[in-house]
Amino acid sequence: MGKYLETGKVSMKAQITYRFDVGVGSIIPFIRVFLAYALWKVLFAAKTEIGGMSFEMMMTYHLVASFLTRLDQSVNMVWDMAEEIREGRFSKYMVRPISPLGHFLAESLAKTLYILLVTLATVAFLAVVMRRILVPPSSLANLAGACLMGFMGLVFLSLLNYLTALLAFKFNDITGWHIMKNNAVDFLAGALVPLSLLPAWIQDVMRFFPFYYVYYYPASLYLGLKTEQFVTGLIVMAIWIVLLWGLSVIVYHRFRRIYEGVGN
Amino acid sequence: MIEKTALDSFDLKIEEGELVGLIGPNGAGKTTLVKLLCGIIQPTSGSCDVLGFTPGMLKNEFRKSFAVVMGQKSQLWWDLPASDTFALNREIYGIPNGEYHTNIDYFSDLFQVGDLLNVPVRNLSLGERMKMELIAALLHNPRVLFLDEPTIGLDAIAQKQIWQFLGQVNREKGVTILLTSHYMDDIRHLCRRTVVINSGQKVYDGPLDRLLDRFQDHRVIHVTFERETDPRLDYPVEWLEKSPYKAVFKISRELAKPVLRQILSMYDVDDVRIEEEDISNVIERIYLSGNGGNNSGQVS
Repeated sequence: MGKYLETGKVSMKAQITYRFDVGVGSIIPFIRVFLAYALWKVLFAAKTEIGGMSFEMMMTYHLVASFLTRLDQSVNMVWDMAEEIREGRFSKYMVRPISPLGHFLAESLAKTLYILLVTLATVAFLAVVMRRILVPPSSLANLAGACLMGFMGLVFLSLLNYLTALLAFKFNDITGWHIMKNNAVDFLAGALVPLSLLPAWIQDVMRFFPFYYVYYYPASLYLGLKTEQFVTGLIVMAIWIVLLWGLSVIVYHRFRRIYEGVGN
Repeated sequence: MIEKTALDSFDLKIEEGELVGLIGPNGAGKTTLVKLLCGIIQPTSGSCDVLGFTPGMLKNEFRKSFAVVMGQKSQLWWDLPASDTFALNREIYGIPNGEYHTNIDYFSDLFQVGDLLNVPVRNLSLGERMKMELIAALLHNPRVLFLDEPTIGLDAIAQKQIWQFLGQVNREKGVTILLTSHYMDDIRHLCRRTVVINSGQKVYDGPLDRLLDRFQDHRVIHVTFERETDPRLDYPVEWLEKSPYKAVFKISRELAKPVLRQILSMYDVDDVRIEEEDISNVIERIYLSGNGGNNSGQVS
């Protein structure tokens, strides 16, 4: 375990060298919040509730979802890992007594922790500026539940992105797949619009899949919605995390056999 | 898809504590052999055994017992000082604290890089980076060290320091070293045993001197004169360059000594440089000669 903690520590140190870029980057996702404000302001002109949410709840939803989107750093790490595989530099993970998956997760979560510290300032600023149109957490228990679910969502996304990066063993370029997957995840996880806008039967089906619990459910829980689904959500997420973990191990051991370690 | 046999009928046994040089032209299969021995790739047929382990299985005990340094692939964190990579390796390899600090002191003294340990890697020169790579690789006291082109791109001074370092590590710590290079000098300064590889096949295994004695058949001699000279020699030479103050010629190896004697006695010589035949030519000749035998010191 110590090696992965140290990996995380070193990774965080490396992030500090990019503090300017990280600082600027922490603002970008929240631009979505302003876009959402413009859009929902128009839509709420004629209604007081859409998808079970008031205007204030909708804006809060977008702020929480944007915050969680920003915290996922594994999505960017796919490019680095794919490049390492393509250029033969991935060998360094194979020849040292370390699990590439453990390394990837440690690095990804350490980056998340660093971004969390930096982004909290932005969130606090927005919360003050937009206090008239935001709602506070429904309860401390719901806030804690949202944090736990959000964390599980990040672990799930890290595993999904690790699996995506592993495709670079087999295919020269995974750009198209990665972009397509990111767009699909953004939609299915509720980063673009709340999933409560979809028909009820689709929502019922989605509750058996992990994406529902990545952004949409933590934001809903924060707002005090769908609290009765919490235990089911934990079980579903735990099952998917175990499944993806196992799949990652199997795929790595299969694909590393076709790796030639060639490149610059 | 084009399939290429990178290594073919390759039989090699290395004893513990040896320092073996693997030499061959680009594309000969040197790096492939190192990757095979590290478990990065696996043989399509045949077997490979390092310290009693099958490398391809990548067992943790195996990975703790060796290290590999590839000249063009770094394990150092680019934006951080090398000391951070060392600290990470301490955890990865489970190096006890005392051993870790003893080794850091030993290697940084040996390389005289104590003041560079906390400088970000991106600010180090190529030679300094290679020293840090070697330290990172040796911190856990590996029994075997694989080096793939460790001196590539280094200047003469850094190259010499690397030779001294590796020689000392081999002697004092008993680390078995397999070094690949296409620089003749690396092998000459370090290795008692040389394995020549070409097109994926072992073409020679034995001392380098014996290889050169047997297969280098000419020398290129560069002579500069103190005054304008038009040298005329009694021996059959092939003139490569002839100008008033300089002459460069190629001559068979056995005639090099008498020719030099004649030049030194007849002309006012300012400087002489003797260039050995390029290793790739020698290897090509060995390969084309097709001599048999598999024993040490033999061409196979």
